[in-house]
Amino acid sequence: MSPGQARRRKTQEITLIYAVMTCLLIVVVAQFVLLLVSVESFLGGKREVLLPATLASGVCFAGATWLIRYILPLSGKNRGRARS
Amino acid sequence: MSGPAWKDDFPISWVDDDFVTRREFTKSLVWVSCASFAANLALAGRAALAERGTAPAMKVAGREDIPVGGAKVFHYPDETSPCLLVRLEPDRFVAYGQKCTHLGCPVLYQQRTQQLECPCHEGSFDCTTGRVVSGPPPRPLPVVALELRGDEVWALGVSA
Repeated sequence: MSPGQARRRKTQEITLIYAVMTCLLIVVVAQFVLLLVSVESFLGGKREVLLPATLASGVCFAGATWLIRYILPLSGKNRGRARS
Repeated sequence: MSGPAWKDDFPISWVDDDFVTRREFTKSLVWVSCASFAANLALAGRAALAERGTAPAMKVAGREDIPVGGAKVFHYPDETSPCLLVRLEPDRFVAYGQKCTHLGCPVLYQQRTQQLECPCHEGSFDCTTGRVVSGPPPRPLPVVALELRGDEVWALGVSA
């Protein structure tokens, strides 16, 4: 792979990382809101909110693990390239 | 393959370095997500355990021990949990945790207003439901489930 191609590839990967990072940040903020609602309802005795909030948080976590699979394969390739 | 001499001494590519930093940060977000989910799960589990009502049944008072409009303090489910039993009508008893949900002062029954009032910060709770009527308390009083067994009042469990 020529240096130009490698640089272009790396730029694409960084763009992908930014995209995934943005999505994950949104997911994590949503989970914080859900956790806040859960704590509030737990302390306030409104237990019926807890289960839906936990399920939604679980879906967010599943989404986060699904998103990270785009990042994990990149690390090995780029580490190798950076060393060479 | 010849570059500036200083690159031999400082062979770190900032582009690569930033790349790794972003990647690591993104990965750490997944752990944060996992921790949030775990905390939510723990809350739900704790609430489910509390709802199961593991507190044993306990005799609180005799029916005639308290006059109508009177109240009695008892401890349930353990000695560190004061509760207040109120006789609203001849056959109607209610009981709540006595610690105010604001800062833990003991609430007192006021027959005139039919409310449980906290003297510390003037919070008040509805005597029939335990819900907050006024003042700073953020949530209702814990409700003690009661049962009349003949001439005795029994506590069966506490729900928040």
